[in-house]
Amino acid sequence: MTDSEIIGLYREGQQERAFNAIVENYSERLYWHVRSFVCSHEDTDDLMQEIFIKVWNSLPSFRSESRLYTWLYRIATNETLNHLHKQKVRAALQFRSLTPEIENRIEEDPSFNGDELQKELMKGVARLPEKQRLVFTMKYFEDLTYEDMSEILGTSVGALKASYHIAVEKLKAYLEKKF
Amino acid sequence: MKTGNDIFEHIGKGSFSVPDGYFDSLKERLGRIPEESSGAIAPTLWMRVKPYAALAACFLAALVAGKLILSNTAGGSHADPLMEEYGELFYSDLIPVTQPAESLFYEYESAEGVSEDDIINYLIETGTTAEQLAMADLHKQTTE
Repeated sequence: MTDSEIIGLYREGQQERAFNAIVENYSERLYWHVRSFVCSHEDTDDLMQEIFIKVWNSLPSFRSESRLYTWLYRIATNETLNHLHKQKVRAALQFRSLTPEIENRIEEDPSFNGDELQKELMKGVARLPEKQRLVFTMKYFEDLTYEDMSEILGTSVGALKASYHIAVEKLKAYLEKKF
Repeated sequence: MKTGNDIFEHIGKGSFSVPDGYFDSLKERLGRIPEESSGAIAPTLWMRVKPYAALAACFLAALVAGKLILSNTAGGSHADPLMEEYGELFYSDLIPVTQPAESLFYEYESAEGVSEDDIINYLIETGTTAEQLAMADLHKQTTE
């Protein structure tokens, strides 16, 4: 079912059918989008529930000014960032640093199928400032276009390109130190 | 022509795996959301802001009452300077802004309904960043 058919269904009053179509079309994509930031299957699973509850509650206010696809990604990105902020604040309140914990999680994740270099790349990405991490992940791991990212993040294409370039330079420096 | 991304093109992306059947069970669970949400009212903006507005109104009322009491008990141009200074000290006790860092670290009882999650949610909603908490901790360490 296409996005416009889904919206059409919703406007005809078939809200649950429209929602189920969104789940069918987007749940897997949004899972991988969240997973690339959160680095934990369990946290991603919890977030997926929260994201789709938000989607269900926000559907009445969806206007066709943006595409359904970018609207869904925006909700998923915002919920993921909220989750990461909470983790950071919780860690700060408990006087611990998150970076070693995240690196540990990447190192010990049994579901990661990559090699050592790819693991170090993930760790380097986890160290980037939030904006650069977002842009790099969406561009490199998810192959999103700058135009799509601009719509999702509400940032200009130029600023996104600059963020990506800076992230690449930082990651190159990080990986060159490691290997 | 070599691009800046060559180092990553050689690395590739790596991948994660998920448990067998995970996405089917995920879709099933997510599909139950409309049913589980029926009857629940999504909180409106006013419902979420109401407790903070009530707190702000109480604080404002206390300020106004304090100001009225102090202005009624002050002697104007014949007021004792010592009493005026005492009044200021009394006032400053109501508004402890001299040690803002302490407001983040005061001892609290783990009272009924006040969990760590409540504190974290409050700090996030008021825009406190992890960097500000770290700075507050540093300030506390240097002044102790």
